[in-house]
Formats: sequence, C-alpha cells, structure tokens
Amino acid sequence: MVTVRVNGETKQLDVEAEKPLLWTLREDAEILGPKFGCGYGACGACTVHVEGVGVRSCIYRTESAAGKEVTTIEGLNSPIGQALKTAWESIQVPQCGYCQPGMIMAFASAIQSQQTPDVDSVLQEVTNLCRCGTYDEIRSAVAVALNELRKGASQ
Amino acid sequence: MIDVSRRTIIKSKLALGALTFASPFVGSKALFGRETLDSLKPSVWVTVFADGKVEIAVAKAEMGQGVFSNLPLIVADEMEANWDNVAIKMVGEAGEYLVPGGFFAGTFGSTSVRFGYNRFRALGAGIRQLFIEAAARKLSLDTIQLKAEQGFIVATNGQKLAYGELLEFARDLLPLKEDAPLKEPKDFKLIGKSIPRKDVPDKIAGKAKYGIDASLPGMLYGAVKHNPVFGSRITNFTELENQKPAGTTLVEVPNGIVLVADSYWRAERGLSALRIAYDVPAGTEAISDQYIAEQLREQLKSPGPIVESEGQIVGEDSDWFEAVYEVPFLAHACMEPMSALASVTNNSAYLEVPTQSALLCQQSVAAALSMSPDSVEVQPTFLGGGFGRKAETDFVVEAALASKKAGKPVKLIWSRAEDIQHDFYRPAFAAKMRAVLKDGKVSSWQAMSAGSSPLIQRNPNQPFDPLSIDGFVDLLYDIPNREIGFKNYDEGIPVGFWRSVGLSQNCFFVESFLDELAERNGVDGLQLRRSMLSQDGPALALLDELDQMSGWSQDSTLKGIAICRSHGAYIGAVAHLSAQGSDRWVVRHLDAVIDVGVAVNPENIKGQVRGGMLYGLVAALYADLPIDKGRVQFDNFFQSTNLRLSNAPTMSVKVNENLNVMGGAGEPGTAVIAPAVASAFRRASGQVVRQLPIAKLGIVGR
Repeated sequence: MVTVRVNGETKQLDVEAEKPLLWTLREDAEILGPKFGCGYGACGACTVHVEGVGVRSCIYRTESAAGKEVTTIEGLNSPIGQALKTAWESIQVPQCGYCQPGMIMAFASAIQSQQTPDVDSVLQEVTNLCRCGTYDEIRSAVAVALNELRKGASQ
Repeated sequence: MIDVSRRTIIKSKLALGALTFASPFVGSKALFGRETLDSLKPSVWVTVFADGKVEIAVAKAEMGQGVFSNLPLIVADEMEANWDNVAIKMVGEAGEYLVPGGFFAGTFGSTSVRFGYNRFRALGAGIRQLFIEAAARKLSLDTIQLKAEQGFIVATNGQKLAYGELLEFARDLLPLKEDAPLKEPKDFKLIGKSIPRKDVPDKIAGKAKYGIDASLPGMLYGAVKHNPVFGSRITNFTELENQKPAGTTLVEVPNGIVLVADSYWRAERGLSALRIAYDVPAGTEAISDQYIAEQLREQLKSPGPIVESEGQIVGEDSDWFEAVYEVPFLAHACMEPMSALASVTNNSAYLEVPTQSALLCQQSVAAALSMSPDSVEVQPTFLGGGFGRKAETDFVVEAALASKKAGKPVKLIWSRAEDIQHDFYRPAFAAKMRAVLKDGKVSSWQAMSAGSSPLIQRNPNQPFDPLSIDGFVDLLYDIPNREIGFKNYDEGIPVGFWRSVGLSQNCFFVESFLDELAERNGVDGLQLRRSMLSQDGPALALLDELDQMSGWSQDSTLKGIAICRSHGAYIGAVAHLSAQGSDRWVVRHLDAVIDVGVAVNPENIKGQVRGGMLYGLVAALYADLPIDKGRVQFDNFFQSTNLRLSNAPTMSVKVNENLNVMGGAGEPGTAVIAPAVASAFRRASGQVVRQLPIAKLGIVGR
C-alpha cells in the first residue's frame, strides 16, 4: 500500500513499491493524461510533477512518490500551467496530441525551475519527443505563455 | 465470411444509388420514429436537436491531421449551423458509415477532405434546404423569402425560427434533396477561415481518449512478445503455460504470445520472465539490411517490367548520365504504441481501437474469430499518431484473441521494442536513374526501381502496384522520351504504408537525380525545373513563390530545392543549411509552398506540411532500421528518430489554391523534403548524396 497525493487528493493505492508511477496513475488512480511512449524515460510523454518538479513517470518507482504531491496535466492549475494551456490553445499546437500533456508538464517544470526563464533557456531544457512535428508551434506557444506570465508578474 | 462482407458492400452500394449520402433512410420513414420530437436525423451523419444543438458524425480517423474538426466543418458551413453548437461524434467507417462510392474505406492517402469535400458540402446544403422548406411550410411563405443563418431560418418579413423549432415540418419533407444549391464560396463562414480545431481543448487538458486510454468494467491487460526473427515460431508453448505467473492467461497469437494479467506492468514483467524457445527457418540467419541492399542493387543490373513508356529513349553513350539511389527500411514510430481494447463473447466482439480503418478491423477480427463482420462493432478512438501503421490490424486481432481466451475485456499494449521490431516497414528501395540533357532540356529519361511492394506482399496475385511507383511515373515534367520500370523484390521483411508511401522514396530518387543532372550541365536547379514545366501554370506559380520565399535566385548557397506532385497537391520546398565548421551542416530552416486547390482550413494545412516535412526530415537525416540475422536490431525509437526542439528547423509554409482539383495535405510535406535536404547537403559539401540517411556520410552537424 502506497499513499500518494495526486492532484490534491490523497490516494491509498494497493500497488507494488517498484511499480512505475505511470502505471500506478493510469491503472490504479485512473488518471489517463500521462501517456506511455517508450518505457525508459526517453520521450517524455509520461511527464508528471512530483513536488512541482518534472519526472519521467514511466521509470519513477511509485514508492518514491509516497507521501508526496503528484501533479498530472489534469491537476496543472498553477499560473504557469494556465498560461501554457491557454497558449497551447491559441497557437493550436496539438496535432495527434498524444505527447502534449507530457510536453506541457515538462515546460511547466522548466519555467518553474528557472529564476528568469526566457524562451531559449526553457526550450533547451525540454527534450520531449513529438512525432507529428509540432516543434515550431511549441516554440511559438512557449513564447506566448512566457510573455503572458511576464505581463501578469509586472501588474 | 467473404459472402457476408460482399453482401455488406452490395447492400450499401444499392442504397447509395438512390441517394448519395442519406442511404439508410431511403424508403424507411419508420426509422425516424425513434428520434421522437427532440431530434431529427436527416442523414446518418447529422442529428439536429430541438434545443439547437447539432451533432455531426465523423468516420475518418483523427490522427493529428484535423479531419475530426474539418470534415464536420464543411457540413456545418453549408447547413448554416452555428459552429459553437456543433458536437462531433466519432464513428467507425463501417456499416452505415461507409462512404458510398468511395473506392476504399479507411483514412490514408490524404483523401478524407480531398474526396469528402463535395459530398459533405452537398449533404450540408441539403439540410439547409430542408429547413428552408420546412420554414416555408410552417410560415406559409415562399422559400425565396427565407434564408438560413447560423441555425435559424430568417424571413424577409423579420420572422425567425430556429432549426430546432422546425423538426416536425422537416421530418415530413425527408429524404434530403441531393441537388440543393451550394453556397457561393464568398458566403463561407467556416471553410477557408482557419477555424480552431474542436479536438484541441481536450488534447491540452489530457482528456482526449486514445486507444491506450480505452477501458471497460472488469478489463484485464495484455502484453505481447512477438517472435523476434521474421518467420520464426515458438516451439515450447505448453511449457510456457507452466512458467507463466499464477492468475495470468497465455494466448498464442499469429506471430507471438500475449500474456494477460490484471495490470499491464505485471503482464509485461511476467512475459519477459518466460523462457521462450523458437524454431528459426533455415536461411534467415543470412538476412540483413546490408544483404537486402546488395540484392536490390543487383536487381538494377538487369532489365525489368516496364511501367511507363513514351517515345523512344535515345542518346550517345557519352550523353547519358547515370546514378543509383538507395533508401533503407523505416519504422513508423507512432508516439502511441500499438494498443487496442477488445471485448469478445461467444457471438460478438466489441473493439475500442485507434485505427485508420474500422472496416479492416471488423473484417480481420471477424475472420480471426470465425464470426460474421456484422457481429464485430468498432468504436474508434483518437490515434496517438498513425502515419499508415494504424491501417494495419495485427494488434487489434491480438487483442480480440486475448479477450476470447481470457473471457474478459482485454486492453493490449505493445512495448516500444515490439512496436519498432514488428512494424510493417517502409520498404528499402534502390533506383537506377539515367537521362540525357541536351540544349537545356531532358530529352530521354530511363529509370528502374527495385524494392518490396506492400500490396504484392499482401496479395501475390496483385498484378500491379500503383503505390510503389507513385511519383516515379507520371512526372510533372515535360520529358518526351521515357522508359520507367519497377521490379518487385521481397526478402520477407513485412512492409507497409509509411506516410507518403511510394513517394517517400520516389521523390528522393527523381528530384535528387534531376538536381544532379542540372548541376552537371551547369544549369541552375530551379531554372531547369522551370523550363521543364513550361505548360503548367500552378507549378510555375509555386516555383516563383518558392523562389521569392527562399531568396533562391539572389543566393542559392547552402540551399537545396525539390518539388513534386503528391496526393493531388503540388508542393515545393527549399532547405536552408548552416555550416558547423568546415565539414558539417545542419538544417536551419525549411520553406514550402503547397497548392491544394481548395484550402478548407489553411492554418491546419500549414501544420500538416510542417509536420509532414519533419516526419520526412527525420528519415532524410537520421533514420534507418538495422536488420541482422533475420531480426530488427533496434529496440527503441530514439535510436532512429532524434529530431527534437533543439535541432528541428524553423519552417515557413504558404498555401496556394491555383489547382482546379483538390489536393491532400498530410503527405506532400513528407514526400518532398528528402530531396530538398539532400540537394542542400550535396551542394554544400560537394559530396554525392545518393543514400539516406544523410548522417551516415558524416556531414550532418548537431
């Protein structure tokens, strides 16, 4: 039994300690936003936050999240998260969309972790894969989101 | 089985003879009875509700290309529905949703909007006319005094009725008219306006349902292990039954085994612990990608079947320029690995699947379970990438067999290694190109390609494969004397349909060769193409715009160009490189112009071209598929698909509407990019670039 807070809700989950967090979320907590892409932490489709920091949940043991706050795309309501989601919609980033929850989670973490995030430094940090090739759209959306966050901060 | 599916086809063909879109309703008003007063279903595609909501069905698979929104948008525009009130229902392209008169059912070939546009406009116009006539009756006015506007019928005298208030009168006027007047394009409110896609908000929120997200009560999970060596068989299945973890089910499937457990992770772990023994057929040890490449080059040394011939190829031996080009096998590598949910009982099957063809799923599952296709229901989901891979039904059949044996719904999920090692690959191909360029014109053109035809591999009786020679024959250019051949050569590696299919190799062969031919003769590549397109207005316009966009005529240094006709569209691209040191280059930017005739959603088309180009760019620069001892050596897709934010070029795309036919948008970008990039690398490095991926030449930077 592992106790995890997922998107603000405490969940007692009857899972093996070493079960990857991705599968615990998807199978036991029925949270389907984080996606399975590779299973070895390379593509980033499974990215979620543990205590606000992006992790590749397909290679992250569930017990490592015990007692911690896990956030998935469904629970990403911070100002950074909102700015990213709004920008993703206005730029119409997704094509198939499968990588985008992980992509947004990775950017939210990258922006959060930087003192003075700018487009280039944030883009450099995110290595997630998109096979539809929406990278140009992602660049535009990140710029829009950072701009909105700056406006919000200076108000 | 065949009888039943034939009957299905005949049934729908009969129905469509009567009315091109509302077939199931012809002569059976009783069907409307169930709709009650709250809604009206003037066609299988559209339901209008009393409260003003409109539901439009879409039977084409949404894999990122935008049909989920853009096909219903065509209907909504013509019927003057308020787009904000339109909900979209995803249905399988089977049964009543088979598009009448369509030459195939499925979402491939960049065909959905191209071949759906006129049909869905006519349907929408028919519904608009229906409500105008219904209002005329209800208000005792002439139709000429009425017009439709955003879900209402408005009369010249100021009276206004919502569609929802006209259901009764409309019901009595069914069936729909086929020949209702279409809108003037200037009156379009949605078509051509780059309307945001309705699937986007859910995809951002993480709520969009893909195949891997499907679930049913009591569902179990399946993991699969395919026989690693092509053509090998498991010899110890009975023994494996004893090895498997307690409480799991082991299922033999056509090319491997599925382990069913109460969690995917447990299934995957249990499967990898099994000690499976294989019988490997003699000779497969020798099969490698190198061996196949050699065999393909060998094929080019002797004459083969001619697939296009015109005039008489002539020239002194010294006039001919000859070059051989080669491309490797490629995996599709969809972000969402193959996955499918199946719930099978004794006499029926229900499938929730990310598929490019509900009809093929229905037919292949019915065959595997010895059921009638009518007993198999297919509910499609969003696809996490398709690219042609999800037109195959192997994974769907596996899920169905697993559910049958487990006696419960089973969601099957492939690991990434399985996905890469058991694809239906873009076939490796080689081509020998020969031509004579005299007085600035190509007078003779002789070409021969060799590779494995996906169509012939599936059906050896198939006399001819138009897909494998797409873009190898019927070129845009004026070349008076041509002789073009194709040799099918199959070494038993499963091959399939990879975004842009035959064009993915043929455009590289033709355009790269033309480019080298131009340079060899001291002619500018763009100018040579221009001179060979003298009668083709849209192609010349496209070249001019590409020239302007890319600044080619001012300075073509570190640039490469290619154009082609792909899936009805014209496309041209210029690749811009930047140098890293003296001997490496990276792709910095791509310019493209596409002509699609009519652009239903221009921004979406640009996105398709950008995405299509990057899909092709990965292959041009980096991707291959090492095969050795009869098996694929890769076990993850990052060994071959390393294009990310850090190294993906920026892109500019322009959309033209000069063609008088509609062209597709999903595939042309993929087709055109390899030769444009190869041309740039060849011109920059001075090295011959006749084999993909270019990175193997050691000239691609980081």
